[in-house]
Amino acid sequence: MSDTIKNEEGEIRMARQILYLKIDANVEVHDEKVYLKDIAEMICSDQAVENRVKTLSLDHAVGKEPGRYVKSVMEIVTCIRKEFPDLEIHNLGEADFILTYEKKSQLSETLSWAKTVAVCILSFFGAGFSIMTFNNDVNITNLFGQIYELFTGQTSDGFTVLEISYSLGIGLGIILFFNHFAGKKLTQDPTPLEVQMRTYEDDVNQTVIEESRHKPKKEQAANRPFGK
Amino acid sequence: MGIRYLILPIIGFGGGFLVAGGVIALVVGLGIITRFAGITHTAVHNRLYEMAVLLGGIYGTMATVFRFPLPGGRVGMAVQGLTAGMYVGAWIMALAEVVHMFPIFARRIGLTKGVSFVVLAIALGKVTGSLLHFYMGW
Repeated sequence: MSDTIKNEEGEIRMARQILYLKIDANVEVHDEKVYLKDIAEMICSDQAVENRVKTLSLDHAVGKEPGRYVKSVMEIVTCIRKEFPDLEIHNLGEADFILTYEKKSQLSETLSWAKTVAVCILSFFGAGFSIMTFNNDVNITNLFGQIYELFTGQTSDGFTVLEISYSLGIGLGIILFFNHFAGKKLTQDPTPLEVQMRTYEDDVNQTVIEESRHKPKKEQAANRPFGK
Repeated sequence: MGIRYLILPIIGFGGGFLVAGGVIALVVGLGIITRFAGITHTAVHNRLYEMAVLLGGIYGTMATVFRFPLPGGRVGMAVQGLTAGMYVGAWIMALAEVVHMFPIFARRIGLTKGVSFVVLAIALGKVTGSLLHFYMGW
């Protein structure tokens, strides 16, 4: 600790080093042995201290099996305090966070795309079926017959320009609603789908953290994945 | 006899009032118009859009309740069909969004690649299904 400061009485004392700590709400690790540098961003005025803190390992951070482990930043603080009792720690990130322990298994590119293709097929036929049930449900054939008569004065044969344009319009509406055309975005914003994905992930994280808080301390076995 | 003619307008007015409220609540709740306004960056004209919804409601009532003949012929009908379809398409997707269908599915099976193709598949499926439905006269 190199910095020294003179106070009013002229005594010389050590300035306390400050460590800034930031942890994201959901951190993924691939190894049972967790180092602080794997889960947190840290800045310290003393580079040497920073480097040493980064290599500290968190004992029993995750259990044997992969899963989600809810952790408190207090555990990190305790861990750092053990080695550096004088360090002043400022937490700028989350108070509670989720440590997701996942075995590193790279899904092959092919399998990943195969899944997407399967979902596309499912979506295609599912969407086709559901629009038929919708059209039947609201008796759209009948309504279009009426509209056709009002526009032209003739009786509709059930498959006219009205039905065709309506059908094409549905597809156009879906694509417009999701603000994309086969992957090519119309505007710079993230698509509503991307926003929704993000929101959902945040909700899941929040729920996992809140759930673990509701349990009494005794049952909160630290090394049990969430939900088991 | 006279009392009936006193009550009937109350029933009619009350019914229309609540149905209008329900329809607007659904339209606003699903955020279809706000989404379209957002895409076109024309949110400043939202008063105009409110007006359009109001006029559209009156137009629909005129057509279905009073059976007013509509001008425009086949071209007008094509416009009506296309816009109605686009609206229903957006409506369907908005409903799917409300129940978080995409994020849940994507998370369950770990979908990472080409989510935009899924949307395209849904759009094509809807078009095919709808055309089939009308063509076969189901």
